[in-house]
Amino acid sequence: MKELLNKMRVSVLEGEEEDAVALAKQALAEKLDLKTVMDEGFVLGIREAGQLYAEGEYYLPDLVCSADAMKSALAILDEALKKPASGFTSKGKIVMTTVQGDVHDIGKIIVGAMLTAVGYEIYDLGSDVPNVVVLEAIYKIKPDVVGLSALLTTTMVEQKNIIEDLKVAGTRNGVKVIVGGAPVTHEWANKIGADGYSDDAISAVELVNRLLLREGMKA
Amino acid sequence: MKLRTQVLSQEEVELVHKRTLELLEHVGVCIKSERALKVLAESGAEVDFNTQIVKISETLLWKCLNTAPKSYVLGARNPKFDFPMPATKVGHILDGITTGIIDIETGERRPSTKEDVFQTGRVFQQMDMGAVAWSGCSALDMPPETHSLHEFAAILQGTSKHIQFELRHGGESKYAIEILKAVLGSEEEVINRKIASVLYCPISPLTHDDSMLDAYLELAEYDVPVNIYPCPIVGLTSPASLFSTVCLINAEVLSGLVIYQLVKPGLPLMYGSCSGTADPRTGDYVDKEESVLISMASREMAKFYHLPSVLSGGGSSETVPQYMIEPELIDGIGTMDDGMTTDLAGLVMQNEFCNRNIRIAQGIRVDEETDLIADIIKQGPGGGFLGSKSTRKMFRDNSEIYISKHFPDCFRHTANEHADMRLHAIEIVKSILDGPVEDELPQSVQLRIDEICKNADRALGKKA
Repeated sequence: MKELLNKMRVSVLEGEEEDAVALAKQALAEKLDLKTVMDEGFVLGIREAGQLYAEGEYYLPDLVCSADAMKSALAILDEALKKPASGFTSKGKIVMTTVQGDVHDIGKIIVGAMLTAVGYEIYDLGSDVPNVVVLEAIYKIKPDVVGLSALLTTTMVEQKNIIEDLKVAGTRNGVKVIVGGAPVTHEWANKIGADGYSDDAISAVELVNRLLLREGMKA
Repeated sequence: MKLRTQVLSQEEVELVHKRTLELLEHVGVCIKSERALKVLAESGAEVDFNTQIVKISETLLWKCLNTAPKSYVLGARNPKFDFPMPATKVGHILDGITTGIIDIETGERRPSTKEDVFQTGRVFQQMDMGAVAWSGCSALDMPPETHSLHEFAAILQGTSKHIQFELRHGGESKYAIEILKAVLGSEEEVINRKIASVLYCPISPLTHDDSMLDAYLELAEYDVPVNIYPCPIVGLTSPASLFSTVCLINAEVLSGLVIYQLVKPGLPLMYGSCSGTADPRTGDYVDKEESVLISMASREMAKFYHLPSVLSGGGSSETVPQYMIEPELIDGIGTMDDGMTTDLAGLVMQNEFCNRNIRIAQGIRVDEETDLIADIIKQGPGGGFLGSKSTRKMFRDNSEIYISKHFPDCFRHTANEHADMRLHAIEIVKSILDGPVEDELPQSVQLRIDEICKNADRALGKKA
């Protein structure tokens, strides 16, 4: 078991997605204790990747590969992990999207990878997502945080529109809204009533941690 | 001779073309515009309307390359600023579109306004290296749905040089044409003078979005030139290889060219290239050495297809090689913070660096005028040349001895060179802004433009 857990750790640490998937399937097939598989296997790998990134040893591509391996393993284990008996909990649920009219989603993917690396559960809706779809996802997933990305000065307005729609729907208080993207600024975030803004992926993680800690949530 | 350089051999240029064809013919590009998809299908391209993937054959590509004009003139409100393509001398494009500006009075960054766009145009007007004014900064005080149109209106009033602007959706196009008609008097003049072009950015990798494309396809009826300007980020939206990024840019420019030429054969186009490299820690766009080399390779590809070129990244010493490959236009002056903040003092300083770069690229001229051996013979050992007539003459000839109009040589190579230059640049900006508006539009035209913008706000602005 110890050797298998180490392989799981290494598969995520080294960003070997296929290995991570195979090991996750093996864990299900052998009916291993999933809390142990996560806490002493895959999660250790993603934490170590995050640590190496923090120390400057890992670059962003290394971290993204680790996050992809982690997400793929999680996708295999998803159903089983959702059962209370698994004993596994994430740090929090985060819905991320690039707003409607905007197809630029690389920045959002990077932020998602960083948040995955520190233990959050990411629901990436993609890019150019209609506001109504974002609202439906918030309603269904009930995330702790929603991240709205916009690269264009012409699409920033959708961040404002979504926040207003949340108010109209009466769900604004139930979720923290963070905004980002090249043209977005602190001033803009304040103006539209967002809960936070970050100008890069590293500070996005700090922002989410801070927001959820302040609320006494899981972070 | 002039300083000249090459980053791709003829064989390598042909290999880029070959790889591009592999992408266009076998992988295809995603085109989200229904109008473009229909035109491509009617023209024989392989179109999958469900996936929006279009595969373009070499035959279709060359047909479109043949209709793209090889020469034309980017007109200007003041004809003395008309810019011929291909150009005899490199010109610069005002960078944009930022969301903030360094306030010239306080030195602090603040959100930009429509007035800032106008004032940026006025400063750009006085920059001798400036040929084409992109809109500069955002008019954040205007309705979000129409601020691009307001920026176009403001920059057009601030400078009488050629304008390059952006629109976000088709609804804005008719108002942009109305503004041009208000300035030029008629639809025919809009078509003939071409005082404004548009900046079109495919989405790397290999995607053409619908909203901007649809807006520009409407403008194509008025022969508004298009700068097809892919902006891949190496390691992020293009592979972490310069050669492959050049191939990707080529595929994006050429697929864009096919769309525009099929909709309007003969529409003037520019081959653009604006790459960056991903910051390995943050993924942010960084304009650095790789961009220079990719731009240079893109220039060689543009030359291969006989298209005028626009490269990113002027106004700094590391971009000197770009001047040696003779593009028509170089973008990238007037901003800081990776293109997110307009800096008018920076614009004045970068204009100076552009002049210096051009001087270096001009190389060493050998002709009757520069062969001054007779002067050396005349002075002999121990003589001097300060009082020579040739010295007086050459000190007035910037193509031989560069002497800055704005920054005396005493600014150079001091500990505070950049700080001193900046203080001086701030004074230059203030004196421009305190002076009269050059080539000011008649009051009646300004009022008409304001009316058109207000009509657009009413029709397109949600909250207006």
